[in-house]
Amino acid sequence: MVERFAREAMGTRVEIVLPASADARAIAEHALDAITEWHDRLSAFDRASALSHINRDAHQRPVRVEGDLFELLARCAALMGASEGAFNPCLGRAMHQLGFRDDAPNSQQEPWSVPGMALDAGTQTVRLTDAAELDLGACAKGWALDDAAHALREHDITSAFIHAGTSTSVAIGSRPDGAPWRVRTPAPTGPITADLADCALSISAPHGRVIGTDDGPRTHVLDPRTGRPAIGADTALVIGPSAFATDAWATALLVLRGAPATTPTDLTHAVATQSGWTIGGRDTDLLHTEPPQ
Amino acid sequence: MTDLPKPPPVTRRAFLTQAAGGLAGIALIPEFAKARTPASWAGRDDHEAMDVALIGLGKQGRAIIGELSAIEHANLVAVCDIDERRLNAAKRRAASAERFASVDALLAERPEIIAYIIATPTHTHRPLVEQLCAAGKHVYCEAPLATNLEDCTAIVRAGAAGSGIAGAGLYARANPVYNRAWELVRSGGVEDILTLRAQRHERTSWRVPGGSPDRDRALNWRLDPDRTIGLAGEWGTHQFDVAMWMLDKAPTSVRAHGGVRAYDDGRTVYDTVTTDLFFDDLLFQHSATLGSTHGRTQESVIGTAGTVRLAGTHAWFFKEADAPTMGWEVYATRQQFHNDEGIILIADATKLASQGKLKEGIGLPHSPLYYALSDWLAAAIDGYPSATSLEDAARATAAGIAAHQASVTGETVDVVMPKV
Repeated sequence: MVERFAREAMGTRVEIVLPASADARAIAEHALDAITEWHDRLSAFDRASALSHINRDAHQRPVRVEGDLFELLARCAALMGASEGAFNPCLGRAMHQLGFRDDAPNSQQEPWSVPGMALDAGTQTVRLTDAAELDLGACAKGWALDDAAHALREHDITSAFIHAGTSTSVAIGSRPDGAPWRVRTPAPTGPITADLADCALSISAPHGRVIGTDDGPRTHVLDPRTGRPAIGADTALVIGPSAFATDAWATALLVLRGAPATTPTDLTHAVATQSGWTIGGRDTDLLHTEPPQ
Repeated sequence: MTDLPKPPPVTRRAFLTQAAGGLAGIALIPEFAKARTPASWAGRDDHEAMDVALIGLGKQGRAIIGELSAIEHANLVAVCDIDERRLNAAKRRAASAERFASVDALLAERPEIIAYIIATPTHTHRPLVEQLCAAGKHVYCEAPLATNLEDCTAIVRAGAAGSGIAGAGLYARANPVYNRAWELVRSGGVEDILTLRAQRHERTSWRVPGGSPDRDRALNWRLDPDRTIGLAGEWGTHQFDVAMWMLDKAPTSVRAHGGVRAYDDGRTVYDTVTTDLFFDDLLFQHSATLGSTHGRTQESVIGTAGTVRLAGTHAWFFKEADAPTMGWEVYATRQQFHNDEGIILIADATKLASQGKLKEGIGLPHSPLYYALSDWLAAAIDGYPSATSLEDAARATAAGIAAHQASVTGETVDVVMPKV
């Protein structure tokens, strides 16, 4: 017997499934509160969020941030390097200009300059380059879900499943009946089923969000290195111990045309359809491919 | 120390004249000259940041840590909580702050810290305020101040007797957009006030997982009938203060009704409460529930010429069709709400308009909590009174205590103001 608790956050519906108990609601709310707090701090749509504060001021001066937010930005910076720039948390301005932030697309594109940030661990401050605006849409859900999973484990939860809008999920232990948590997702080459236990999974696809432009449909996944729509994989499914890493890598793999130069150490399995790249293989005991319907 | 000049009441004629003149009619509701506002502090570099200690690391304490990092004139150097798990968790968020498990240890080991924020459970505020004020510290105490009038009075007296600046955690009076709405209401922009309404609707059980019986009891004080003033007190106090500030008067009586409707988990503290707070014959209706998010948190002042609606970082004016046209409204930004159209009220509108950035002012750039904390710290540094005094908070808390009593007894209760 499991119970489900859900809340709107991170622009989607976040759900926690855990075994029924007298404390289940209180514990689930504790975990959902962790996600809501990150939503409030990282929203690019809320002028009062910490992220908006950075975006307003960090072009002129270093902006001080809280310890855990600095930790998140440092992890982002590390993943920028590991993905050879295919993951970039500073694409907010580009997303505005391309019309993905409720603005009209700007038809007069400026020459592309790769946006970036500078972090100072001593002062816990961040500065942004001229072209940069933080937009953590490619990793915030994963980061928040990791925090929620930590909150559940703090209360001795050994079996639970958390997902945010079906694109990122965390499995704590196995299901109460001992079977793994099973996730099934459509893919161009046929549905993929993943059996999860004590790991995170993220799925990304460029058709997840598309806007119409004079030049035809435009996807929301940009290649941060060129400023142009990504042309790597058409679906990326990745598994690893951290939802932050799987979330960010799922986007990066849509950008990369093949394997990264260095195999990511924070993933255990990955399937990037079209670019044909895998880690850990598919059709293993963890990932199953079903024939196309 | 000098008292801040109170803004003079603005006549409706003056209001319209000011609004219609200048800035080619683009702006705006007239802005009172203020000696100090949080906005006027932005970008100031003629002061040192003040070291601050935070006592209480629950949900509100965590929110305070976040806001302090954005306040340039704040430097969080110490945190304190008797709960070991919360104290350890703060290490990650407030990485550079020293951690203390007791206030006595904090005061003994860091005597140079002169500014303290109290974000502990309501019933624990009094001894902390008394101890800190007696030690000459600046003190910010979250609201409601206390769970009974005796403690409210003692807290106000402790603040008055201390040499530091005391302020309270109510979120309206330092909030720039609420100040804009206050100016509109007080200048007669809504004309005759018919009624006021407010609500806070959330979907959360209020139950905190403790992990052990002792910790469960310590953390779940909101659900303990002996230690809580319930939804009417814990949440209502904040919104009762909005009404009291807008009307510049105290409520006279209150009736309330509640029940356990959303969470059948053995609790006796109501999860849904509706309150009628009377200001003589003027009614302020308040709804609070833990079972629904519908409408979330908002306050409305409903008048014959229009209605002001407030929602934390945003405010709107819904004007009646037969109300006189105001010069500023022609160019104002509007927002549709089903059949109603609200004129968006913007803080610092005159300044923004002069910079051609009026639309950038829609929605405050910080949370209401930020402005309350920022104002108190600025007051402590400059030696002015905080925008929200302990007296203001004690009066609002008194209304909250009476509302809770009315909800529990089912009887109409006279609102008794603390003797301060």
